[in-house]
Amino acid sequence: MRSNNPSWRAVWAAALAVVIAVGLSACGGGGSAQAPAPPAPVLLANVLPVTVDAGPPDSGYNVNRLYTDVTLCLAGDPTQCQTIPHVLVDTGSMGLRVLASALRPGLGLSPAPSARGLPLLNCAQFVDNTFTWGPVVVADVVLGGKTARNVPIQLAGTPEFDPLAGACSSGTEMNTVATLGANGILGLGLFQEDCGAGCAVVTGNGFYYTCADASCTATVPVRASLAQQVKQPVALFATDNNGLVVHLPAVDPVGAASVAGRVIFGIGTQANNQLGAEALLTTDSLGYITTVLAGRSLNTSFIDTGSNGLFFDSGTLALCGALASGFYCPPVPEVATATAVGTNAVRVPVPYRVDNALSLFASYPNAVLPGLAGPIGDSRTLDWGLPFFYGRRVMMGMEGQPSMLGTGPLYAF
Amino acid sequence: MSALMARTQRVAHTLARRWGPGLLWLALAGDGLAALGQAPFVQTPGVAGVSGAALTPKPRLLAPSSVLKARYTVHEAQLETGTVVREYASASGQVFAVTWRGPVLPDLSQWLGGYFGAFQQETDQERLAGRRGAPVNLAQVGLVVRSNGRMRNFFGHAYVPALVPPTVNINEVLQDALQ
Repeated sequence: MRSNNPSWRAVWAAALAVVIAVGLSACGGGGSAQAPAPPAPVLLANVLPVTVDAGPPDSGYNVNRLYTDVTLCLAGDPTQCQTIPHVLVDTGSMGLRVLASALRPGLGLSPAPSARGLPLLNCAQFVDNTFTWGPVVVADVVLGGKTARNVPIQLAGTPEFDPLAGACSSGTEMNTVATLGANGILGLGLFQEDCGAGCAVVTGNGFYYTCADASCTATVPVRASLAQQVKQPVALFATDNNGLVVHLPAVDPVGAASVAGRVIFGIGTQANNQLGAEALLTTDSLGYITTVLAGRSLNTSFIDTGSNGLFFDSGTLALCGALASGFYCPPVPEVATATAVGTNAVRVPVPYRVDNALSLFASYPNAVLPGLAGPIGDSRTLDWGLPFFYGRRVMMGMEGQPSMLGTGPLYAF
Repeated sequence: MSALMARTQRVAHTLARRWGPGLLWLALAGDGLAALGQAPFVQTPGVAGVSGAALTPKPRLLAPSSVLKARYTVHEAQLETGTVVREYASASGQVFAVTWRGPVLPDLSQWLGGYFGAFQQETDQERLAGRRGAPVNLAQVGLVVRSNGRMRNFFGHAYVPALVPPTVNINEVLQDALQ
């Protein structure tokens, strides 16, 4: 444990968080009537502060999970808003999902209708045998200084809309802070909707359902047009809407209690989202790139802030066993380099490090564990989770949206 | 064009298949007779295997096919969601492995049959231990389940080591499944 001797990076990160918080309150104009605060750096409107920390109270054990605050307003009514803290920032999914239990009762968001006139219900599956289930509602979404209007979002775990249906009938429902580990999920993935064109033409699509009748004691599958589907909010910004940049500071291998960074909206639209030294890697239509690791080509690799480690198969790294099932426990840290290859054949070296997971977990309550990694059980995939983002500026171009980098989906890092 | 739309167009040209009369009998008798460790859900007429067809799971299966390999049979079908599921059955018609790939997960409580409980327990424990939002990598003596991918692109497999026919290399089977 190193709690008696915080590293200078931890102090710097804390100071930065304070500066950002002061800057935000200065922008919000809600300061109390005291001596004027010293000039604080003003955040540009397209900047969303994010943090890696232990999550909200009673949310279980969270490591390497990226959080932010999201403000929801009744569509067209900026006097009826609520700020939801500790919403997970997930570039592996699309759309905003908020726990119904996190909303104050008076906010009055009402379900959007399906084509059959009854509430439109959404099932969102996640790879770890969990899902969120609940109605689609339309709201204005404020992220940093930008507002997206009339955004279809999901209210997860709304009690009125049991039973669970279809694709969301098995696994663990995330309808509480304890199961979700957050108050919601902000899906900032590469695509504009959670489902896409298929849900507009196929009834049994596994994403959208509606009530069989007004009592809603049973549900049936239903089609949902692109306009009705849960939307990646950045796609609905009036400007700075063609992608985003995730920028987290580097973290010492020993880890940290928390770290602060930012998500910047838009690519090449403002002074703060221009291409720097990053290399452009295009992806295939499903968002995959290739990773070359120890001479093998892993051609369904991807980058995802929603995965809380680096996940890949290794013939040499020791497994932790039952004490930390699903993670690697090398006796000494492994420091190596893989190569990320875009579909445009651009190659970028990606240094990475794997530490002993048991040692990392023993540094509790550190929530930032850069060297956390584990096996994946698939010979063609490297899941570059949140540790990939520490110390890296990662641009993500949205499907179909043009920027000076080209038309997405694409990465630059 | 998205994967789901391409598959939808293919399905539109598929002829409807008729299940054998054994299916109706089993439908009346109840479920629990198909999935991992049991008979395949995917049945195609004329393919040798367990006597009597398996209960059709919901959602219904599209374009089912069976391919006889040297030491096992691959039964493949597409769900209406566009997800492709394959069941690998031994010569006696017992499913020893299941693979899937598609925009939505198949209902694993159906396809894993009696093994789903162990899978559910493992994912619950991993979440409590700090593995959240990460791929599932269950590798036990009695059951192996890997679930990978993310929204719109899930893929994975499950197999029971004790049920894999002695002359079959499970890793080769799973490699083949990715095609």
